[in-house]
Amino acid sequence: MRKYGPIKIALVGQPNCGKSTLFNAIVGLKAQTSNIPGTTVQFTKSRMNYKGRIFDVIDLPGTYSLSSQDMAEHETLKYLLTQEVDIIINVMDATLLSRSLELTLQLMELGKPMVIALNMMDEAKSKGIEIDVKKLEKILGIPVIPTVAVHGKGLKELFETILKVIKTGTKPKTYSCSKVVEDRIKDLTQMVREKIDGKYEIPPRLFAIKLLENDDYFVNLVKDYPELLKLAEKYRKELEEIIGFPAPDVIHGERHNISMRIAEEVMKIKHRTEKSIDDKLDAYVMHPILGYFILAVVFFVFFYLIFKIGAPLEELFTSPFDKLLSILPQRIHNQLLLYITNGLLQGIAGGIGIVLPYFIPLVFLLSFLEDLGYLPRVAFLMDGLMHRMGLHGKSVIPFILGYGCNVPAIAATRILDNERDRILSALLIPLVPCSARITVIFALVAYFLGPWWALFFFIFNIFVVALMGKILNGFFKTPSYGLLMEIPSYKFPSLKITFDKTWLQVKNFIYLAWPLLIIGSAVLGVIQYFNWDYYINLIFSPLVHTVLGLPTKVGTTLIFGILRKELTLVMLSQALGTEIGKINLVMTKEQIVVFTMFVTFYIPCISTIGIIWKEYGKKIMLYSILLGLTVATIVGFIFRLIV
Amino acid sequence: MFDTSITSLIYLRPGTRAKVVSFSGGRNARMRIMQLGINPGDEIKILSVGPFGGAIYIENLTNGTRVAIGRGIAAKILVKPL
Repeated sequence: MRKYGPIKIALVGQPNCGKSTLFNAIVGLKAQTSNIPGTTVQFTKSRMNYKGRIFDVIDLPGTYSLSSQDMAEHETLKYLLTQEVDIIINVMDATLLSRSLELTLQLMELGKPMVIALNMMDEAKSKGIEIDVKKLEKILGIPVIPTVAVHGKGLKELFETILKVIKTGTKPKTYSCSKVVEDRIKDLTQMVREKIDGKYEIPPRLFAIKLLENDDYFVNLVKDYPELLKLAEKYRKELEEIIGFPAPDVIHGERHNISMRIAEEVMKIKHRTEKSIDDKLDAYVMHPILGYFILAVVFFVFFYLIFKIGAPLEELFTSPFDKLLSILPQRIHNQLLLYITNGLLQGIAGGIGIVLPYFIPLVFLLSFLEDLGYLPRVAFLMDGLMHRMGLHGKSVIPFILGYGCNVPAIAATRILDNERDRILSALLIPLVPCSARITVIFALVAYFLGPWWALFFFIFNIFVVALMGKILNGFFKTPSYGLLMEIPSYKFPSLKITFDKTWLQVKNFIYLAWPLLIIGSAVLGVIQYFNWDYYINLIFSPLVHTVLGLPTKVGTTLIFGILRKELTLVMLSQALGTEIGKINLVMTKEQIVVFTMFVTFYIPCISTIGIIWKEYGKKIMLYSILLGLTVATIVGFIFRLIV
Repeated sequence: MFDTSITSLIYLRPGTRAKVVSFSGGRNARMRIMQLGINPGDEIKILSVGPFGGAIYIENLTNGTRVAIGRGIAAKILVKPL
């Protein structure tokens, strides 16, 4: 055990056990997000100080177990094995003791010092659940500290225990399985110790269990030890014959039975509260008919609030920039410099004035709904519909984010279980109109053609996204698993946690999307200065004029739209030489419809392209651009014919 | 000899209770279901069924977990109504 240098703590727990709440309670705003090396699996880490001792706390993603099927779980296991971890805090949801214990048993196999934070004790009490903490400690051989993270209860005692465990370096006991399984584990462990002990810092017993579970990562580690593989294979076959289930299920069954036994010994359920709050609320929220009314109301209020908060904020933030932009020409005489500074300022204004006022309320309200426990229920209600798109309920959450801004939406696709759903969602999200494109729809369609047309635009957009989902679905070989998701109990979210989560998202936006906005606008300034827009119009005129029947001068607007969606409006008025309000003098109603249709679907803004490249690589990014262009052109052309 | 009362989860109406018997279907789906806390022998209650091919919302009465399961996977969960 290293004596000096920060103590490395890893927080491990199942989703919704309050792990991040605990992390935020002990660490606060200093947390930064980073990735497990070489993966897109994100975790947050931060440094803190307790009684003069420095701790590096790592909040790993929530996992139900440490198997290699799920990428996030596999990376968490590898992290715990390969990275420097001095002590593991296993955060457990006291209301789901027996299932949480299944993960605890797997963590005990790691043979690293451990402390259990038995979290949500207040909820357990309200559900009439009583847990004998001392007895649990004796059985597991690990200190168990009752905590209520959301109120910060038990944290001091938790850290006192951590210091004690670090000093003594006590390691958890290993649990023993039923005889028929235990004999084989012991025998295999013996062989592992003989053959490869010391080669990997993996406890031999954990290695043996993983081989019995036929875990690909561990089988691969020993591929040049045939006798070991043969023995493991032999025992797997024997277990399957004796018990009648495949070996991985048997090992899982062992842990399940042990957890059930421990839970029964330490847990007493005083009175089964007949109708808990969850039952009462879910009777309406999850009702096959009522549920959808509530869903519609929630999201009407959700978007109403966003645009109600967004609009005045936009006004407030952009006015100083407008004043600045107007006096700029008198200050700067060198024309090129003027255009570039003008572009830079517009980029900054775009970030502050247009995206942030809508982006912050959206992310805040969404994390509020998430902490409340309502988002997983939205995933349930939307599952049937999402299936039409070849996806499933869980991917509705990134799509909702997409209406605010595509950048966090693409980042949010990370929560989806498998690669196939992630890529398909990432390809579809840019087709969802972000707040910038929504302002274009309101400014043009709603203003000139009336609100019913605007409503039609949104419904038609959902139809096109669903259709594209169905079509693209065919290209994927592996079928989607379908929805399989825990529905957590309702909790009143703590505003501090919601603010922290919002701040983390905004930080990501500021570091990635905003710089791209600013650079893009500066480039625009240069294009305007050298009035290359004439040539751009030429290049684009076949598409713009012949296919879509729009005035050729509109070509430049499309380019500027890529650099920044909100610029489409500004550039449109400049290109056509009139204010936004009088566009209908220059463009017919049909042309407005075709133009807005095209802008809604075509290439997403440069920030979205940036994040798709970062998250999914060049190939997927090119497909996304191609998809956006083709869909926009086809839709634009169809509307040119029928309108 | 053959227990005819065993059926698939998707045929049960909201409100009914059942005991999980086994899972047909691939190793991945099976393992994910069990990790979420639904194991053979558990008693479950169907709370709600989403319309137009929607998911099924169940509560595991044995360990208290509540789970939403897509139709595809739910079809592979064999249960015995109680």
